[in-house]
Amino acid sequence: MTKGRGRQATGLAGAIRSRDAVRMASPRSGSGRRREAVDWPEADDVMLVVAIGRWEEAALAEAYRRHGGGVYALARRLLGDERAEEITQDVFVRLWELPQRFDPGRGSLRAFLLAQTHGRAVDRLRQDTARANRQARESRLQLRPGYDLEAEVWDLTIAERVKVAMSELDAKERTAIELAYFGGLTYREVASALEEPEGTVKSRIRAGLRRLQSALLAWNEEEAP
Amino acid sequence: MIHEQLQQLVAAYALDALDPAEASLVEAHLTTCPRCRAELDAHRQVAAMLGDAGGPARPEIWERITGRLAEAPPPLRLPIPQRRSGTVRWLTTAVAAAAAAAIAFLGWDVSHLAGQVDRPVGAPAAGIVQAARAAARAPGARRIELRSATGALTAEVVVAPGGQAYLLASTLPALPSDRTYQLWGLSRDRPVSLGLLGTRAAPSAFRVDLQVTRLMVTAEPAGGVPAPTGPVLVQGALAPTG
Repeated sequence: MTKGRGRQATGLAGAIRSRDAVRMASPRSGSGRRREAVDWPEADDVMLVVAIGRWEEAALAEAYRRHGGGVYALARRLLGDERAEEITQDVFVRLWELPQRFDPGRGSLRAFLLAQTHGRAVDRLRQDTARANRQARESRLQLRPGYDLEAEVWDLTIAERVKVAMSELDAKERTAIELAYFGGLTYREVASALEEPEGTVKSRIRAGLRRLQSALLAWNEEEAP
Repeated sequence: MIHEQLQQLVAAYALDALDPAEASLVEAHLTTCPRCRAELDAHRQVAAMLGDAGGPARPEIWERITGRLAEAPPPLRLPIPQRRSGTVRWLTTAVAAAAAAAIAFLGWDVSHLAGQVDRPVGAPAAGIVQAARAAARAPGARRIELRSATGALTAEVVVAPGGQAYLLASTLPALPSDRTYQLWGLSRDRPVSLGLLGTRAAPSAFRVDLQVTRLMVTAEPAGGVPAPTGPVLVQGALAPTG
């Protein structure tokens, strides 16, 4: 959102795409830890996680390089800069400690990390009960018109597709999903904010997600290499 | 709550939009309902796309992450099997271990002789290999390659639909006689011993139940251990059937 980030995005994001080595040098790389000649930028995500299970720090660095930006951006959207950093650290330290929690049979590493991020961010939000965060919370309740495309969008095709898929939803489904996912509200809280029955909101979330699924995942399968 | 009601909650759960009580109900249901798990996975994939604003990974955060990583690889921090069913598990582990040890012992000849094509292979071990090949051809059989991080070490596993499984060729090096390879199944995030493979990870037969999501091999003291102590040498995910 800020110019600073934008500038940074150009350099690093470009490197992430091209997979040129913008190596995240680890302070301890080259220490006593056993190192093997592995070209981590070429390894797929599942191989990275397997290597993380063997305490290969370089594999964690590569996973961070690929997904750290997305994790941070999601945490920041829910919590703001400062706490987004903490969440980002927590998510990757946890991946280091419990890599077996990632099951490649159940989705991509990125989806797994973003789900972890979201869960942690929402937990944090819900701890902020009475504080001045109430205000922030109310501002979150004021819906954004559609998607903040100006924000750091690393892949315009996907972002565009997401935007289109969201815009095709019934407005009430979209509202319920946005309040729950980006506002960190439970569906009951969404229902009370919108003065709608809880059951209705619950069904809208599900119906909306299913519609998004057929729009996004079907497209994903077609376009994926 | 019945399946239909819980299934209604899975979407909200995927968005972390349940209160803790409902979330626990859904979590309990998910452990026994593959259909709801699949629905959850699909919703999570969609949620990830909604929430994925991308952007660069910031090096200064990485520095703080490395500062928090354990200095030396700690022992494998997998949770220890629950005490409640300890006796039963110990017993079944012991029986399975004894059976696997016997099989591994018989199988030793096969791996030992595998390189010598001219010599006939011992009948019992050949039985395992034949049974494994037959199992691999059956509809619904899964072949899984367990791999090390670099791919230098591999082990081939065949799992028949009923859960009968076989370890076939592996490139695991021979261990000293006071060590043994041990096979583990990750079952609800807990490692459960599936048997000892001996010093050479010879062709062996074992069983996996439906809860097992990942197979792993560690090197342990001879006689095996109730919970893994060594690093995971090779591993592979076991995709759910159906």
